[in-house]
Amino acid sequence: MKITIILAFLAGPSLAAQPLLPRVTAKTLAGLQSLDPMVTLVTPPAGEAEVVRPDKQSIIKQSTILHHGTNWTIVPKGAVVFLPEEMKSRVDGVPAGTLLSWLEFLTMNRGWITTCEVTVAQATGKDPVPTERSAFWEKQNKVVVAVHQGGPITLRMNDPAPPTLTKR
Amino acid sequence: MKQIIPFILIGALQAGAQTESYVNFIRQTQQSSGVIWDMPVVSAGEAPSALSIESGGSLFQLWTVQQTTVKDHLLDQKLVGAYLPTADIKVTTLDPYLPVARTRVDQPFTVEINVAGLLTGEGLPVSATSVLFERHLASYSDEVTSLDPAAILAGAPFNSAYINSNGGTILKFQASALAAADPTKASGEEHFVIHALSDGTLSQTQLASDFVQIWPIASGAIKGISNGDALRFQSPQVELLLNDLYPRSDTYLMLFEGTQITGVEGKIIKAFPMDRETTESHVLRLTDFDSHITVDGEYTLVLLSDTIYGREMLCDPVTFSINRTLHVNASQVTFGNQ
Repeated sequence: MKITIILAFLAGPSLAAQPLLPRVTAKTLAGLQSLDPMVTLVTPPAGEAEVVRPDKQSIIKQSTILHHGTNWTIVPKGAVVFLPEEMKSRVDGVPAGTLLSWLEFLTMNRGWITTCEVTVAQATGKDPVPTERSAFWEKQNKVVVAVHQGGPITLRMNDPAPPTLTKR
Repeated sequence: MKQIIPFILIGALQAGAQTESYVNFIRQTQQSSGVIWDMPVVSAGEAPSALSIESGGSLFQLWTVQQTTVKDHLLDQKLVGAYLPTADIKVTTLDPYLPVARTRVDQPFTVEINVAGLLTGEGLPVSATSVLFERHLASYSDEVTSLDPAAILAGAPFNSAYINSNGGTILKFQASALAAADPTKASGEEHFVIHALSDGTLSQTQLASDFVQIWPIASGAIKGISNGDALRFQSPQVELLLNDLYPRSDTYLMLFEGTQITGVEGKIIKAFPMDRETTESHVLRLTDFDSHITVDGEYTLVLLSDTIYGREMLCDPVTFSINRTLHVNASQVTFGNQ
C-alpha cells in the first residue's frame, strides 16, 4: 500500500499535461522591449566618446600574396625581406588555386621560399639584422620571409621605407 | 610588458570558420612600433603570443578567408595593452545551443561585462576612467542569415553607455530590440562591444565583443478545416502551414476531445521534429485524418510547438464536430387481407 502511494506520487508530475501557452503578440513584445537595462548606465554626451571601429578592413589587401600556380598564402606587408628578380612573378600577383596557411604553403614551397628568424628588437628596427645574414640572402635564389617563432613578421631594416630588397 | 594568451580569438574560430573551405589567420599588430605578426594557427586551441604587449597596446584580429570566393572576414578583434583597461563580455541565453548564443526575439538574455584597469580620481581624462559599451543591431534577410561582424560593428550603435567602474556589470535584456514590420518576426543579430576611449593614439579601440543570434516567433495555420465546421462523410483536406519554426523545436498537430485543451493531454496526429541552425518554414499535408477520429463528437485541433521556451500554440485552435452515424427514418406498413 505504502509503495503504491509513493509510486503514484512520483509518476504524477510526469503524467500531467504540459502547460499550453498562447503565441506571444506584438503588444506583449513591445512591453518587454521597453524594459531596457541600459537606462541604468551613463549615456555619453554627444561627441565625447571617441572610438575607432573596424571599417572596411581586408587582411588580403593588408598582406603580400605569395603564390605558385596551384596554391597561395598571405604574409604581412613588410615580411618579404628579399625578392630575387626571378621570383618576382610569384609575389603580389593575382591569387590562383588553393589558399593555404603560411606553414602549409612554406612546407610545400621550400624550393623557392626560405625564412629568416628574427627577434622582436630586429623586427622593430631597434637591433639590426646582421649583415652577414642579409648578404647570404643574395647567394640564394629564394624569396626570404622574416619570421618570429614560425610566424611571418614585418621587419624594419633601419630604413623606414618598404624593407623589401631586390636582387639586381 | 606582458604576454597574453589570445585564447578568446582561437575559440571563436569554432564559431565562424571551422570548415575546410576557410583558412584562418590571427594577426597581431603592435600599436606603437607598427610591427605585424601572423600567429601560426590551428582550428582550435590556445597558445601564447610570441610578442610582448607594447605600451601602446597590441591589436589581435581573427580573420577567416573563404577558399572559393577569396573573401576575407574579420570575425573578431581585441585590443590589449599594459596601460589600457581590459574587458570581457559574454552573452548568455536560455538556449543551451553552442557555439554561438541564440535566442528568440521575445526571450530574455543576459550580457555580462567585466572591466579592469580603470582609474579613479580627480582630473583624469575620461579615457582612463571609462570604457564605452555599445549595442549594435543587424537584421537578417530572407536569403541571408550570416552577417559580417566587422561590418556590423563599423556602423553606428543602437545605443551606447559608459561603464566607469571596475568589476562585473550584468545587464538583463527582456527581449531583443530588433525591429520588423511584424515585430514578432524580427530576426538578426545583436552585437555588444566594449571600446577603450581613444586618446588619438589608437588605431583600433575594441577591447571585447560578443553577439547573440535572434530568431522570430513561429506561427502557423490549419487549413482545410475551420472553427465550427460540422463534418459528415467527406474527409477534410487538412494542410498545416508552419512558419519560422525555432531551430530546435518539435511541432505537433494535436487532437483534443471536446473543447478543453488545457490540463489535458491531446493525441498527436502529426509531428515535425527539427534540429537545425536556422529557422525553417514548411507545409505539411495530413493524409490520415479519418484514422484518428472513430467516434462522433466534438473535437479541437491545436497546432503547437515545443521549444526550450515551452509549449506554445502557433495559431488559434480549431473546434469542429463530426457526426457519421446514419439515421434511417422509415415506417413499417403491413398489408394484409381484410
